Amino acid sequence: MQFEKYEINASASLLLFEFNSVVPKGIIKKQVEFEAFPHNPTVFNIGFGDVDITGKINDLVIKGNEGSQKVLATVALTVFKFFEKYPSHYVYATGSTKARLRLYRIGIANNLEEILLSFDVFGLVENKWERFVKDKNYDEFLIRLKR
Amino acid sequence: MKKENNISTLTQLAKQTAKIKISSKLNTVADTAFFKKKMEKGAKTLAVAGLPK
Repeated sequence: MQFEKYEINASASLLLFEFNSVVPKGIIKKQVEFEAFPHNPTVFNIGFGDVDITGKINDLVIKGNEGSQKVLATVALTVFKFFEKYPSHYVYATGSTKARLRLYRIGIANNLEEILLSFDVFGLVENKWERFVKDKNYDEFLIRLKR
Repeated sequence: MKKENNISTLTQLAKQTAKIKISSKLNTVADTAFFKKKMEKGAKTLAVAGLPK
């Protein structure tokens, strides 16, 4: 994505990332993590959320549209970095709320042409994966490097 | 008496260390309830739908 992105800190495994998002009220620390499914170790679940002042993660906070495009672009960057290290793996994504799901769908749909240059994106329909199509309400997504 | 005090202090320190370890373990996304729910949801989906061809 050609959008501006935040600077990220990554673990050596490229499975844990942190960055600071800047909003009018201050700085929000964000964390992105990839974890393999025990029974499908080639598939990694991506999760991200805000780190609150106590150090706990909260995925359920949606702070309007304050910089959300820049945040999503930064999360997309972590996906690129993940695939640099794990090129034959998959990333699974779903939202914890309808609002978050909508944000993901819009984020993918608005950048689909560019995303498809590097990735295959699938959405789940009636327990089957199909190629991601704009304007369809998928609840779950799967991403892999383009084959 | 002094030995007992030392043991008590060490026990307290050990308890504090245990607490610190637990709280730092919770500081990653993978330890949160929402992420675990998504792991369960994804595991069920993958068991049924498998991977795309």
